[in-house]
Amino acid sequence: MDRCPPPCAGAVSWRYIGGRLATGLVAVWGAVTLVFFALNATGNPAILLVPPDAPPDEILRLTHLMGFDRPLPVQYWHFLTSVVTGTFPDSIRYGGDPLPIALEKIPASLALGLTGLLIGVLLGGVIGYVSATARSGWLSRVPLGIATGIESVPTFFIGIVLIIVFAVRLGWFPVTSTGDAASMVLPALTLAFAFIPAIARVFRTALLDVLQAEHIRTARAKGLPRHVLVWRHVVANSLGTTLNVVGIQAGVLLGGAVVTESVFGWPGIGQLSINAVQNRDYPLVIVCVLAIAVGFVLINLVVDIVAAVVEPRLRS
Amino acid sequence: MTAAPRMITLDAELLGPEPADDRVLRVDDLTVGLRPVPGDSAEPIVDGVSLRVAAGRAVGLVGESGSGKTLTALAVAGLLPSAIQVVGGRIELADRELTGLGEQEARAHLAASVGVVFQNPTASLNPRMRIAAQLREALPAGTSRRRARERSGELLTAVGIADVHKTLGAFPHELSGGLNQRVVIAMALARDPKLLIADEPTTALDVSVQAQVLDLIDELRERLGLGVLLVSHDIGVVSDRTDHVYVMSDGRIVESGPTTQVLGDPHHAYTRQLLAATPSRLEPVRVAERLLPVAEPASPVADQLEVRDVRRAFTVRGSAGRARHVALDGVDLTVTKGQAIGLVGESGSGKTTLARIIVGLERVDSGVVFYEGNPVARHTRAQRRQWRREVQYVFQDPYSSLDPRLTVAQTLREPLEINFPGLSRGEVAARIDSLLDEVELPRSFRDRHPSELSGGQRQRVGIARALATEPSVIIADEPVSALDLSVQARILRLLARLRIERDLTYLFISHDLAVVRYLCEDLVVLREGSVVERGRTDDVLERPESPYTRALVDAIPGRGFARS
Repeated sequence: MDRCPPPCAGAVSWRYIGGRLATGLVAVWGAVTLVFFALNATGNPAILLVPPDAPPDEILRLTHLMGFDRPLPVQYWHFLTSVVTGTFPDSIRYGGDPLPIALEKIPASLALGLTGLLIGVLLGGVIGYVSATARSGWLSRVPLGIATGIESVPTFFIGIVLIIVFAVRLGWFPVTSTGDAASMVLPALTLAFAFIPAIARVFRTALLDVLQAEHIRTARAKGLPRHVLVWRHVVANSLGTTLNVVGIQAGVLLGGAVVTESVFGWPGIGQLSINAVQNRDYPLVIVCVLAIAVGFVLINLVVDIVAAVVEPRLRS
Repeated sequence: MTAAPRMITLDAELLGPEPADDRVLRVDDLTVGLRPVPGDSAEPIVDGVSLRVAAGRAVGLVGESGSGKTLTALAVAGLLPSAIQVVGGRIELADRELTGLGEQEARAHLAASVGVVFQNPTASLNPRMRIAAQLREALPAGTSRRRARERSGELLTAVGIADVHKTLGAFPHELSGGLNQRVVIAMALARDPKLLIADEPTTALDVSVQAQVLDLIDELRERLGLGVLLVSHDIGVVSDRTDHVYVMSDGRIVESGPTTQVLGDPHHAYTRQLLAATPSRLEPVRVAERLLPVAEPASPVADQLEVRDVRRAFTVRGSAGRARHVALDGVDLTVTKGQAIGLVGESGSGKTTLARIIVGLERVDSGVVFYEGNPVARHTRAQRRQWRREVQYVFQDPYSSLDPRLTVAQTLREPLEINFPGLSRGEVAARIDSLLDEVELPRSFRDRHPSELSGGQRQRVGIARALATEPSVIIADEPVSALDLSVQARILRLLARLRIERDLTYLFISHDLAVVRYLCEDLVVLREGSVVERGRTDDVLERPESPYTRALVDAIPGRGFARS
């Protein structure tokens, strides 16, 4: 219908988005707090910042300079203020504000992550659909079985196998990334393999549930063509739960990105954070974690909104 | 149902002279079974069923769960689940043989000539599509957008929906069950079918809504000359609404004939047994001493339970924001020892909330619950334990109220060990055996899991679990509404016997006045969180004082049948 009357007004309310965003802020706060205390728990961070043979008074000087000798609550307060205002101490490795350094890497990571997600959702969806509806026992078990097998192999290993087969042996794709489309294929596939099985399984279960539902019988009674029945009634009703899993898997995507980006040398934020940790670039680590956490929250927000669009019961 | 609905399209042939053969459905020797697995000959689930439905007539198909009545209906509508298929027999629908047609052709013919209405209206609609879109799908393919909108409006008006615009824009979860069932009926009528198959169309609905929906089906049948196949377990509904009835048991039709004749003078033993189990036919249990006028109603000793001015409201989040739903709006209730009170009301009347408050599963906003004269909120630890032990709950759904991982014995052992820590292992085992005896279950059932029990057996376990703590009050929330008629009758007799043997006090919640009449001397009618009437059950049912109670009594299906 073209116009929607008051009781169902609007697709997704601002109130709903606001609520989700508030939950997301708490998650971001939790992530950075965890990093702060983790870094503190490993001892005086100043020691990490100086050469191993630095004299004790040099350490003391740096400790004082960076405020690590102040009481923990005070440090935490300063830390939170810097996160909120976006003013971080200078990056140790690169010098200057670490924020732009991290932000610069986000587009590349985003492109890789979304491509991986897309491939994963499509392949996972197809495998889930086939295994739920196939009449033959073969089709219903084998693809899902293979996907589950792949799930139990670590991401970096899949990445290396893909490089050896497709880049070294066959030479179809470049070995190390340059950031262009051709070099994105292998890392994106590697990422996708991490969540194809989960999506396939959840989608399969959701489909089997919906196929049993009474409203499918009603739809069949209407004598609808098969493709309408399948898409509008069966698949569309199975998306809700599946989307939730996509949101959770976004975490896998980000975590996987750190590994995948280093394996393929993809110039994204995952590789940057590994380097930052290796360089003991404390301010840059914080900024990277912050960026990844915000990214996670945003992906989940988008997933929640999409889920509310396809699932009207969630809106109320 | 006040405004006269507009006429919807009438087929030319119905307006013309009466056809010689006005039969819309003819089923001959229909056999339905599991799809054959190689090397395995499965027994048919529906075995040689023949039936006829004429235009403008309503035919009932009665039986208990597992009798094959629903599968028969689904087979006619071409909606059998994929594991089950028609094995043999003929189905002739609107002068066309179905069994020989190709799949595509059969589906087209079915869609054009059969409308189907199911038991659970809200689940029968796609949860994520607006009513308008779902109705439009049901219209013949190729209907223009504009025409579809007009037709949808006409159809909703025809099924007695007042606010057509609002309904079209709503999602199923935003509408009541009664409204949703009207929408499902509108969808079933969208292609001007010749036959309407209604599979338990009102079982999930409240009594008053039930009557409205059945009236609607009656009216449409007469106006459009529809043949109606009404599948039901409810003898009352069938007796009120059909001209002809088929009784099914174990996949076969055991008896058929004009409804008045079959129900009035049943020939087959199964039909007789089924009719005898109808709650309105059961002889009410009346404990003589309870019927005497109570000497001192206010005497504190006799008051076992008292609820004083209890209020409870819930916050409901809707798409329009938060709303407060008042479940209980100042309810007073006194239960004296040995009494059996029926608590009756439609869904949303607050009866379950009240019961949950009495056993402490739900808190009150204001008001006091007394147990044996002491407010529950101020109980000492010992009093609280006594209250918890002596007031027990029997739940509605025997399928979900038992832990599926526990055996019967484990389920019964738990309350025994908690409440009687002094018992030895042997004593506990002996008590479990005697509990099983009491609820008439074989002792060998001790090691069974709920999945190995039937609905009635599970409910017996639920009752035994409640009895395990030696309670004095049993609160039973619709304990028989999920059960088949004959099982229901047996559970009701069990409850009546236990009450006398154990000197129990009952608070019995039900939407079914006939069930309450059987078991309870006293009756309290709840509506929208308030008591509208209370008194002796027989008096209230005979001479209801409040208009609401009268409407409720009048809406009970099969009243003529019950008296005969």
